[in-house]
Amino acid sequence: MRKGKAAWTYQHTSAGLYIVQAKHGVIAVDTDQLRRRNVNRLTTTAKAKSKSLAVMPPVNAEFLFHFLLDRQHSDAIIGDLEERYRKLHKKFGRRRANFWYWTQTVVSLRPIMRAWVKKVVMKPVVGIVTWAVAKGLVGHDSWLASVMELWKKVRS
Amino acid sequence: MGKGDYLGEFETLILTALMILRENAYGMTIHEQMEKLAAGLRIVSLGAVYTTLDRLEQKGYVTSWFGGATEERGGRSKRFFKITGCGELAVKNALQVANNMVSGLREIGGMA
Repeated sequence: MRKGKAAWTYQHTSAGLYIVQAKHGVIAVDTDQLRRRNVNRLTTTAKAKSKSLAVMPPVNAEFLFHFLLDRQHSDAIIGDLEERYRKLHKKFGRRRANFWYWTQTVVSLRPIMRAWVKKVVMKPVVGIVTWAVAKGLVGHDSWLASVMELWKKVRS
Repeated sequence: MGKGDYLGEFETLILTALMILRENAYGMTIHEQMEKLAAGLRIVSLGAVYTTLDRLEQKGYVTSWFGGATEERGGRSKRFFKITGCGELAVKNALQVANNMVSGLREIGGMA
């Protein structure tokens, strides 16, 4: 008798049966049937998985949108791409749908990136320049202008 | 009307698509409608559609809201858009200008 989990013990017989000693009694299990059932279940799961994977757009492309946009906006755009992808997949097949998806992602990234730069990079830069002008760090009568004037005199 | 209030070609195209689609205007349908309107004349990317819609929303020509999640979109929600009165007026003005240009060209025989 071998020990399985703490709640029950089992024994393998030569007839291909498992005798399971559980808390509430003894159960005989036909291993062949069990194996067959498990194989069937695994095959069904694999088929379902491959079927769902077949209509899934490339995940790598999604990452780029998540990086540049907030969650709600990236979800909206990825959802649109996925909806169209499924349509194309049904109509033209996986290869063409994948090509369309990647093309759209690459083409879409340019305007999104430009908007992102404008929003994330330009605002601080404009802020710093404005602050510098206000502080007199740049401008015609600032110390920087005097240094530049001196540099021009030295060069000439 | 300030300089920023004038509509570009792409903006006019988007607002026209919104006027056609009415209640069912979200990213994908707008994109499809624009591809139909600009058939073969220009490439329309979904990213450009969204950034232009954001710009139009800032100008007050468009309003947007998020709808419920659907299974066909992998559980992701749709972002719906609706044109405002201001937006409709801007499209009418832009189309009027385009009509004037066409009739001007027709007068000199520039268009068949």
